[in-house]
Amino acid sequence: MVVGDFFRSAARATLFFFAMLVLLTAAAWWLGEFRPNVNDIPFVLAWPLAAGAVAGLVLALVRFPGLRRVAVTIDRAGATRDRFVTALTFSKRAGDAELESLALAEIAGYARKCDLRSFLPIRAPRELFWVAIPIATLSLLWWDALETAASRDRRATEETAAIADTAAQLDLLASQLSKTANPDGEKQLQRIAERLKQSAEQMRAEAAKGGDAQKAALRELALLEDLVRQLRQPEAATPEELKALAAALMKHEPTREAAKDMQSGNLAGAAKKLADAAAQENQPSAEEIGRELKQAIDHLAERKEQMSKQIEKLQREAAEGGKGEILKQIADVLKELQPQSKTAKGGAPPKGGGKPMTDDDLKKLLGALQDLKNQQQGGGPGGAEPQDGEPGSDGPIAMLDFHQRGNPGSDSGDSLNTPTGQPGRDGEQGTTVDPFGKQGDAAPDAARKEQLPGHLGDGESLSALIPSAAAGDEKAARRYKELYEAAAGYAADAVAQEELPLGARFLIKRYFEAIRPKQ
Amino acid sequence: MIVGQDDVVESVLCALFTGGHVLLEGVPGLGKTMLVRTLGEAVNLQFQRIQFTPDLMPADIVGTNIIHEDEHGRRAFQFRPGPVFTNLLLADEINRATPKTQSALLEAMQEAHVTVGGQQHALPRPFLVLATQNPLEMEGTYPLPEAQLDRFFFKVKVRYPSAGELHTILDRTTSAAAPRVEKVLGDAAEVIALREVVRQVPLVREVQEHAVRLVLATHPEDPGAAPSAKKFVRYGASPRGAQALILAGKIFALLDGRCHVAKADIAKAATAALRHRVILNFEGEAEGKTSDDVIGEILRLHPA
Repeated sequence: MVVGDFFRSAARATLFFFAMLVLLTAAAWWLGEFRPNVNDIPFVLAWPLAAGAVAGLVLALVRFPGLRRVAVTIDRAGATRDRFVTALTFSKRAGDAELESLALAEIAGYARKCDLRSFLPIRAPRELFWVAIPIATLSLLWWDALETAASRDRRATEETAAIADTAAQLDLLASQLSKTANPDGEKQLQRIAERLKQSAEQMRAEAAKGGDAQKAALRELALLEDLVRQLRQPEAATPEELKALAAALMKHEPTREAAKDMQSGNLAGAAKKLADAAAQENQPSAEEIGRELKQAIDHLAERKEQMSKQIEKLQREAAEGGKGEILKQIADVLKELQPQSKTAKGGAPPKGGGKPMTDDDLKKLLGALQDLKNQQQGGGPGGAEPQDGEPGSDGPIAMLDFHQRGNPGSDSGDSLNTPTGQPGRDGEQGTTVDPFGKQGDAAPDAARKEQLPGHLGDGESLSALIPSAAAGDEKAARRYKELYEAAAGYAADAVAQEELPLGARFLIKRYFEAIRPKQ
Repeated sequence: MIVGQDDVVESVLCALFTGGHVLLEGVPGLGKTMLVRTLGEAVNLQFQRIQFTPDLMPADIVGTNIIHEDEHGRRAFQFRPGPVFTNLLLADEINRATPKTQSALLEAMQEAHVTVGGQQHALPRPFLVLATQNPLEMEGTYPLPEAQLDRFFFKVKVRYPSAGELHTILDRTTSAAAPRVEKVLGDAAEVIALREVVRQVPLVREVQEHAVRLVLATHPEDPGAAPSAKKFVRYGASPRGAQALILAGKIFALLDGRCHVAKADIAKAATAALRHRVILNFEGEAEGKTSDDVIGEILRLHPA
């Protein structure tokens, strides 16, 4: 009984520790922290069992029961009526009580007849069921490991077959490049050949591990591509080459600053200064600019001399006759002079040299032309040059004065008959059939269309967005009452101004009453 | 002579050989009187029966002094002993007598003598009282108080005989053949000697601890009390209960052919020795619990 209890206790402790260790192993395996090889799995199972057995034996020895406990255990298990405990107690007493002796004798006889083997049943401890779960877990994990290994092997075989051709081609290319490359030179080719070999090996290794060999192949080819691209790029200059370049640049004034930067290692600064120096090389110097200006001015002066002579000639000829042709020629001359005049007024000095023409010169010329024009049109020489603010005083640009600054209503000088913005003109008063007014003369041939650029002034501006109410389901932007009240005054004024017959007035009044909004 | 009722016979014998008294509870006609008479014949002891009634006086039990005139004409008080002066006394329906009369008997049970007229008169030895209570007719009775109940060694419930037992009873009692009782012991001295032997039966500390645990488990305030004891018991067993357990255990051990007491012997005596000493509270009585239920739970919680 005691022995059985001892072994049962040892087995119980062993199984407990084994179960705990197996659970820990299974947990580590499940979490991925522990991935044993398939061949190591028996060891993985064996070591917890051994550790558990040792721990169990140690624990059982520590907890080895005493004789009294054994006697109590036997009495409890065997229903011996406390004989063994009584015998143990009575045997230790030194008394000679008769009944105690009788009791001991009776117990001895009982013990002789009793089969104690019935107190040592051989049965598995209940705790044996504890290990069922971890064993089942480990079995599943073992099966999973085997399946994974088989799958990995299959995949490795497939991937290896898939990239075999590509790897073989890379090897072939590498060997060919190695043969072609001169061992002493063409380092690039040798480098490419080595990289090709490495790529082929990498692909095979990836396939053997069961990885995605196609992806590995693409990756290697991309790396090769990068390598070739790098090799095609010019090599960066060596330090010695940079020193030599800096020394060469130092000899020239414009590139001296850039050379200093290059020597100090600031290649970016050197490059910028070199670019600036190149740009300065293309720009003309101050002397050149002065030279060109002088040439332009000389050219202009020469041209002016020519023009003056031509004008004098025309004046003579005009005095003698043929004014129409003369006017045309003057106009042509003036056209030719206008760009020069513009430039002289506000822009850079024109090319060709000579002094620019001043406004006084032009005004004098215009005065002369005006005289001629007046002469052609029948008037006397008005003679005077236009002053500022008068018609024609705007310079040659405002050659044709389209702006009629006369009194409203006057027909004189309004050859185009454009609306003035003020009421009272013949077209606006309805004295003509055409609502646009009397047809005016056509614009003279000299008139030319010119688009005047406008610009927004600095004064206040007011803008209003007038939304239009579309037909359909959209609602009006303004309430009808507000619209009516805003427009009622205008409508009343418009009706009042018109000379309506009395009957029509009554109808119109009824109409407005009808459309008046309800309160 | 007694059909069935082995536990009752055994309990009575325990009480006889330990010097205790037994309270028998059962309906009339179950052979209680036959039991006592048979026991008396078997052990060669005197037997008396008292039918307790409400008008029974203490003097009717213990005896009284009467005036006696001798042949010379002298008158003197002479003690006339009552029926209590016997070895085996059957006090039938003790709960029907008044408390005064009950106390007279209980004093005799406890002290083993009676005092009449200021004079003590020792009772014969051995002296065993088997008191009975009728559980059916409790109206108009005087149930024994708990303090008085504690003086009984055992309280034994006499159950109704089974069908087979009833057949046997009928066969034996309604036929011409009358059973005879064989004498087992010679006289009262042998009973007393056996009492001494019983007290010498040894027991180990573990067994005594078991008895103590059982008794303490009946006390609701004890940490090791049973849950039902905590809930339904008002008063637990007194030390007399532990004494009864030990003495009864010794008897049972001897009856089992052993010279040492086992826990099983203690457990066997627990119910009879403790059932009249465990007093239930109102909640226990309201829920219909009995002291036997509480003792049964205690025995389950403290197996032998």
